Amino acid sequence: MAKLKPPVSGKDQSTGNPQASVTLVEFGDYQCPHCGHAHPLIKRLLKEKGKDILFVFRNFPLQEAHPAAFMAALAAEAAGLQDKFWPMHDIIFENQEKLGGHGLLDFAESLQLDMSRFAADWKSDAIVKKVEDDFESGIRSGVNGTPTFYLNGEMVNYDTTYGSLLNAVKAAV
Amino acid sequence: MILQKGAAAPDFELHATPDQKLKLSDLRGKRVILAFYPADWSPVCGDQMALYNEMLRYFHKYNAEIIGISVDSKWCHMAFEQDRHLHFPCWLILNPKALCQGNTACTTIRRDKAGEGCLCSTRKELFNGVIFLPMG
Repeated sequence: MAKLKPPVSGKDQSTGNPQASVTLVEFGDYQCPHCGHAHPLIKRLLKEKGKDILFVFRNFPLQEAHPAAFMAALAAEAAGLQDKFWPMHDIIFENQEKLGGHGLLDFAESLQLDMSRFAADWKSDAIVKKVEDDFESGIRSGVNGTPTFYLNGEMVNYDTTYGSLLNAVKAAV
Repeated sequence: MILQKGAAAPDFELHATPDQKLKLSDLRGKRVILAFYPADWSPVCGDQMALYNEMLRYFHKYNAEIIGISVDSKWCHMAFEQDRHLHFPCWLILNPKALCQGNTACTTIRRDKAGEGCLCSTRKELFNGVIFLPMG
């Protein structure tokens, strides 16, 4: 099975327990409906198993298929510079139909981000590089669609059900 | 006969668009990825070509070009490229066996999302006319 490359590091966006023995990585696209489907499954998993898991999100925006996905990824990373990556991540997935137009700016305002800083960070070279590096790591790891999950570096056989994620975690804990 | 790693790739010419032909040697100096696939519009291969399309900027970052090759007609390729917004060319090959016998590339590489089953016949990475690595 395909392996995660490079391994999780301090550059990654993570939540859950940093000391956990299980690290779950998702490669996702903010405009992808299948990732929208997986989002509440991950929320539930973190609620039930959060003590046992470190969860990492890497960006895999398919720009040809999803024209708003790359901008959304930049927006979430820019929010991360104000310690609001996960709130932005959640609000985007919970409002996928509002992506595009002013949607992302509205989300940023609703999170009370410093908007002038957000506007500067959003399209900065460093943020673009972060998203592009995530995408390249997905290519190198064998991602060919979203969402794709890796548990402790090994690709998960995710079948769109909560059970497939839970069982993978249980087997590893 | 299958070309070995390090062997020189033979030159060949195929239709790139209905009124334009391209030779492999036109791309000399670049890494060239030949993505042989069974058919335009086929579901798994279509997805694979779509992913290559998303990866173009990364191929270019490493001085690589990708070319799709299948047996569909040049008009079919044109419609497929337009429909899928492909930014790389799909070349027409009328007789893949002839190309294989011409020593180009003839292995079977199988890979799909789960790393098994399905897929397209051949991919070889060429650099300055030298076959480097089969992908997949």
